[in-house]
Amino acid sequence: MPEPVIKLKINGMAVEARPGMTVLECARSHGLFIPSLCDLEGLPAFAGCRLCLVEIERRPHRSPACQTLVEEGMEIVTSSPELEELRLATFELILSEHPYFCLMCQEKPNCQELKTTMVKALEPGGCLFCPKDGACELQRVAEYLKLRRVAYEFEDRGRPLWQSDPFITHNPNLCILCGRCVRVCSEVRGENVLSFIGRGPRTAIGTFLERSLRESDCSFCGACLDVCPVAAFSERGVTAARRQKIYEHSFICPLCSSTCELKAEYLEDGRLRRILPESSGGPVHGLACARGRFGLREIGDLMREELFPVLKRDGREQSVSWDEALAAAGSLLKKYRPEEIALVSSGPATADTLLAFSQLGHLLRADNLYYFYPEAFLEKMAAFEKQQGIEIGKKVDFKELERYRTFVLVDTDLKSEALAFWLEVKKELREGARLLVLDSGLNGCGQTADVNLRCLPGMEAEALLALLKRVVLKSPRLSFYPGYHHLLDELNLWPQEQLTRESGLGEAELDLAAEILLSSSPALFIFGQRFLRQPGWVENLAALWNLQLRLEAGLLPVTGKANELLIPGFKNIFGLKTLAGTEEIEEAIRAGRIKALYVLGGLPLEEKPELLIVQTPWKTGLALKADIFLPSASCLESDSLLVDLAGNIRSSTLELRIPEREMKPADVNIISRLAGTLGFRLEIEGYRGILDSILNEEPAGNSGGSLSYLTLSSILKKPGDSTGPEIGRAGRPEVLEVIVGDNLDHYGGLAMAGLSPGFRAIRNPDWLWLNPRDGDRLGLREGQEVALETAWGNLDLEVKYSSGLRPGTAFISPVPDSSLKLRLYGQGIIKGTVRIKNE
Amino acid sequence: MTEKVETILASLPAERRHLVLFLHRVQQEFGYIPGEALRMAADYFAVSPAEVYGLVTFYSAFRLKPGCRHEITICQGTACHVRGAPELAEEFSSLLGVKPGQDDLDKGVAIRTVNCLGCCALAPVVVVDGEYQGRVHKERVREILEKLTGMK
Repeated sequence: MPEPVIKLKINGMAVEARPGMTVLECARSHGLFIPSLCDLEGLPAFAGCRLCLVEIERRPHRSPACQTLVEEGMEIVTSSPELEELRLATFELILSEHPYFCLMCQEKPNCQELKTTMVKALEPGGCLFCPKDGACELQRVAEYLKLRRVAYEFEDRGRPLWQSDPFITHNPNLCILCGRCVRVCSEVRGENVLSFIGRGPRTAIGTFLERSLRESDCSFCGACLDVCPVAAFSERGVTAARRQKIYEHSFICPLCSSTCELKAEYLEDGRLRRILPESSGGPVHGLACARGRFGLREIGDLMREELFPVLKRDGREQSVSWDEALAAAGSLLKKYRPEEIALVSSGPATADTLLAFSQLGHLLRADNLYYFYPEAFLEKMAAFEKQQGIEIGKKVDFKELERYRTFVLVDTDLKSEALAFWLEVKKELREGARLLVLDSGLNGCGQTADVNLRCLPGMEAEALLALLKRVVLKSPRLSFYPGYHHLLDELNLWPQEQLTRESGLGEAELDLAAEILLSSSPALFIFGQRFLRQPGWVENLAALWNLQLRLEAGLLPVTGKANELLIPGFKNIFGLKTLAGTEEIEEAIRAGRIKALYVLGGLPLEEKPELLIVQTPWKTGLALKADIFLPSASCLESDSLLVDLAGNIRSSTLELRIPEREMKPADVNIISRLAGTLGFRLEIEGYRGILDSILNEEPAGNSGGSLSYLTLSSILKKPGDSTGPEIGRAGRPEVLEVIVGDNLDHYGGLAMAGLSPGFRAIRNPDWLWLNPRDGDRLGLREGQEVALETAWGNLDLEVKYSSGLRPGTAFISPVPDSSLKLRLYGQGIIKGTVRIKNE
Repeated sequence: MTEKVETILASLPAERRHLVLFLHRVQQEFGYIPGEALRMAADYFAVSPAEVYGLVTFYSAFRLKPGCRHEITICQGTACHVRGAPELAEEFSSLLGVKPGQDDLDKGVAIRTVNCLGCCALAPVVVVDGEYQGRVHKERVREILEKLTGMK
């Protein structure tokens, strides 16, 4: 069916529009400029600035084009002397509270040279100090309206600047109250941090109780920076570009499986200026999070970059040429027998780097090729699938999300683990889809949920069974998958009250959740790494499988890093092994089984083998220990080729050439040249084909898997077997159950919080999250330094409160940079006691 | 405090349209609206805390800090304005020696102005400790204050 078309006239010109389009959108699509300050593609209309008023035939009043929908036969005038006069008058009113000298200063073109007008008004005065100069939307409107004077004296609001947060500064005295930040924060990002505060002339942008962003649950996604038309929101430390040439590099962020497209801006002298979301679809649609835009900027800019390889000879470090370093690495590696050499890749690397590294390992000897992978996520799932004869790993297309009416997040905080995917889900929620969250830990999506099921740690399986029982009781229709009758019999073994009690959830919330699952179907169950990183992961998966099968729902695992979907394929082709902790490799080094180690990225290693080669963008602790350090280009200055969580290949090509900046070679090139010195040739040209075949092939030896119910009694604890409530529940009150969450805030062996105090202030990996009630109960206060004592060792942490956490439960998300943390990571849920440190 | 707020919440359906009523009831109970009550309301009515704060700061009738024992609200709406509300506010101000919005802690009386109380037929309107008084003229101001402070 052809899409209906609406015919109308703009300025006498016959045009066509789609139904539902606004007059402003229609005019823009035909190349007409109508001034506007509050409208922005992707945001709901606000009609606040009143600059887009247009005349419509047969309407007594002028209408805001941004809020008026096109109608058949409409006749619109977008510009007339009266309209422009009205716009100019409105604009002057807007400017009465915004420094406007920079908009009409005659000396502006000479400002840089003459500096005749250093201070044109109160802070930040004129164009010289405004970080938005050149990109300010007021400048565009002033030019259009040919602003020559402003009838009102500029009135400085004299409000204090927001300066207590890192990265983001807000200057309320520059704000024109267009509300874009409020709308993007609540409607698009779902952060709900910003709001209009006060009324009338005292209206301002503010937060809850006017707290700092840090204290307002702000995730520092920076969307407010992207949409602000003036410099009311500006990135700390970024000044206007003015006449400096800015060099841009678009790349795919490798730090999580969302694979957002970002843009790095460099100044002429080669310094990194800032990182922005690449926003071809307008600033609202460009995605970035604190990790990609601020964390990466901080490590990229603060870490002094090493340009040349470093070779250790007789204990002395020497900066050498690439040829020399690679020749040395090759000849040293040749001294060892293949089984004495190990290769370990860790952290976010591009897919072709991973391929080259695996291929080199394969050519050397496949036995000692590892992928450092503390989550060991897909492995567990694959083992389960194989054992049960089912197939879980369905790829869900981002574009197909609209077919799901309920989204269920199980032990995954999508907001921090895969922001881009979360925002896709959020779009569906705005369209009326429902959201359930089942999580025993801290979940940033919880407050958005229709029902937020904060179950007891490790009791996810019980909660899922409690839901399954309710679903079966409420809707007694049959399921035609094999094993259903047996399942019904089995469910009788678990009394409803027992499941409810053990899960730690309330009857009412479980009833409501079950009702939503039944009334708003189909559902998509999205589960994260924490679901499988706990002792009862097999039970969790079995319960989830049966529930989703009964509901005929979708099932999607969320991988933490990009490229994780490739690991099973690399295992098959190259014999890649995964490494969850470092004990195994350290043991082999101590025993002399491994003598030469080539590490790509970072690895928390205490033992040093005879030969250590480290390839990473920065001089990390491990790089300092290395015999040969190969400094490679980071994602900020190389091609990107990554696979996202839905199995899509994302790529970008480096086109950055800064005269003042020496470029480092990309990982894949270094590996390929090193292979050359060893007499191997890597077929890099064929890599895209290998990736395609891995991503498209059916899981090996598994022809789709069978769709049948699992026999729970063989997998789950026998009913009555359960020891019932224990630690933190009825046990000693000072013992907390601590959930170990994932932490993706590191790159190339560097933790962002370790290098950047600003980043540490917003995302401290050493926070011990507690419910305030537990804090009070244990005599703690926020910000206090404590030690968390566990059976594996003690962690030094800082108390941080969140009422989103279930009382009795604590949450940590350490950077996995020590063997202790790796061990805790492997446990998933630990018991811990908090001790106050001497002050 | 928490229990009292919970009781108030429980008396209202969890729909956002009841938020303003909730705020009135909390203020009635405590004389002001504690920050924690705002947080609890945000959870209960499924509105963001920032939005609740935006709402509570929009209406000048809501107070976020504990104040004086007595509260005099002088309407400054259009009808009251033309019938002399500004002079009325000035009279209260000069007799108490405080500006609207400030508290006179010595006398225990706070005066504040609001934009419209919705009972314009009674203009100018003054609300003394919750009691609406219509057609208040400048001459009655001293009387009102004496009655109040005499009550102490």
